[in-house]
Amino acid sequence: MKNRRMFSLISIFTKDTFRNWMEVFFTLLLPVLLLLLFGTIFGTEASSGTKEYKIGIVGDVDETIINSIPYKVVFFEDKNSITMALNENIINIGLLLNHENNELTFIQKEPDMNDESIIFIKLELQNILKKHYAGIKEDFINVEFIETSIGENQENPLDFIITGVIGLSLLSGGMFSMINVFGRYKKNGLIKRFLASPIKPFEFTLSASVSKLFFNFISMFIIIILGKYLFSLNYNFNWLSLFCVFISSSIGMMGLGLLLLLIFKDPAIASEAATILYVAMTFFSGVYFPIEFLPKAIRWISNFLPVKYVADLIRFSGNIKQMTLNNFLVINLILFVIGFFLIFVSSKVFLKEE
Amino acid sequence: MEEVVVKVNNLKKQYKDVKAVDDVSFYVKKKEIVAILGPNGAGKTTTLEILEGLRKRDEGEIYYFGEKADQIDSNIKEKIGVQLQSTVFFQNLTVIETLRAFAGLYQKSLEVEKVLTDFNLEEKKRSRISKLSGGQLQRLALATAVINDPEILFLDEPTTGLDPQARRNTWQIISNLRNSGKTIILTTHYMEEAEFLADRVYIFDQGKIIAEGSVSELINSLGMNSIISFKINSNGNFDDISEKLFDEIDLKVSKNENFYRIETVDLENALLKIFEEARTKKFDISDMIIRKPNLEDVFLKLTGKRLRD
Repeated sequence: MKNRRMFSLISIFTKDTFRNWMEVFFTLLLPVLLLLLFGTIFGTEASSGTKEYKIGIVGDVDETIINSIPYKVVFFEDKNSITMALNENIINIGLLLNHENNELTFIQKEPDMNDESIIFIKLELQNILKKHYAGIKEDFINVEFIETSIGENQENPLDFIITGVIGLSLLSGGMFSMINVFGRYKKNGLIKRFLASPIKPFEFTLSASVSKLFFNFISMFIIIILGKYLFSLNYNFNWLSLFCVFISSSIGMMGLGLLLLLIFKDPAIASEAATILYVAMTFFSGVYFPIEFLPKAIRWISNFLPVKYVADLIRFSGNIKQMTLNNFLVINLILFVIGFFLIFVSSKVFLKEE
Repeated sequence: MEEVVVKVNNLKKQYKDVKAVDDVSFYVKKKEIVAILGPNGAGKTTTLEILEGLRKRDEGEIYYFGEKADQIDSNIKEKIGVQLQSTVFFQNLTVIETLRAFAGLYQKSLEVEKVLTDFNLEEKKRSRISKLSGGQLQRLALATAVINDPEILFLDEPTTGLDPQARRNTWQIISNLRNSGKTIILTTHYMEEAEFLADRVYIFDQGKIIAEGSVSELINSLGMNSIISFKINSNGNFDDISEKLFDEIDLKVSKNENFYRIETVDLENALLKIFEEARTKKFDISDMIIRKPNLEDVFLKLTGKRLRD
């Protein structure tokens, strides 16, 4: 009988959620839009890591020098032709060698002045030329062109961000759904109508949670599939650990929504607080960019924002971030226990006789 | 003697300093419609919601089907149907989905299609809740209340906010439910509703029961047959026309501005006297209404105020 009651409730919660455009937008469409946005931006940037740089050279250069330059070299007659090639983006940087005056001149476009790649190329060329002309056999300056690390062990920026998008999706799905269920439904009397039926408070809570979990799961699944097939993301999920993260994070985030509701009582105020928290988590929890990019003085904030941990757990499940298994299990457990406790407390507080 | 299905003894509920329900006792027999009549804030809804298990009582005993109910548990909830004062449903569900969902909450339920037909909702069964009119919503609320084929129905102000036509339709539905053997407890502040539907009436005021009985018993207790109300025009000089105008002709008179209300057991004689007075004292009478006393008059007599004041 309990199963029939719960099936009925889960069914209506699910139908209502899928037909609620606001909820569909924030839980399903917004993460997809973010995925497309960041996928487009960072997908292009990620591919630029393999870009082949071209060096334009005017003047006689030994073949040994040419062989030691790890870029494509194009020769030009004079300074004018090298300038034209720069303007037409045929080359990335020009080099004038004047043997008579023992002069070495780099020619580059002004906007490229702060371009890290160009700066590195210049350093590298200087190093090669100094080595050759000074006759030094051992390297005295080592310049290695390595990809800038923006996370800890992430494979590329897109993987890093998309796992963050999944974290935020679990956050918004869990947090806002519970404010909706226990706040709005209570305020407008819907919960009261159900409590007049034989349904028990925990059955109501469980049904609401299961339907929202289902919705969150679809959202996460869509992000992963689209990420894989549209942007060829590198992550390779351990599905079991991802499922654990999904359950613990969703329940943890539901607990967060309920905590706000317990604090603020009014669902409208709780919803606004949740929105502020959502924005704060977007910027301060290392979802869209690493925490290391933040000023040191405010980095500590991220330690209090659960999305940071959720995103880290997802990254661990996708082999993007290193974490000890113990840490992984402990964070999952904390999220689950706190979330479950708050859901339990809420079903006592919000679904009791008045 | 007919079986008592609900019995309430000395029920009390207090919110801070306000006694919402103050030592109320009543009973409801099987297959009867009992109306709890009273103005807003009289304690009607609180009483009903305590019986439905939605509010905690501070004191008092409740008996369902002869057994004391310390808690309104799921066994009792299986046997009762509830329509709340303002029922809200999931706005994005259709009528039929809503009914099916409620049917799924109970061990026993009626056939959804039949209930749709009985409550004249068949044409709207695929409509979203958000698209329903007030009357249709009210019918759906009634339909969800009966979907479990309950023995007792609690209807909290079932026609509030409806237009007269929709109200009449709802009354007819409630009458049909009574004819099908349901016991119905309803609250209302419409005396016409109580008069039309109720076998017995409990009149509530300030958390207490101030009168009880059948509609005819309550009206007869007034000791009057007719009420005459009219307006007096005296060239605008109303101050001259006092409440004592009719004192000498021994009628029970009350006055509100230039409107008079006269209660009498002898209608013909009273009318004669009123018109004689009018001719003698030279004032005009207009807007005269002669009617039988009703529950409003009972409430007015008991409390000195109108039901909807």
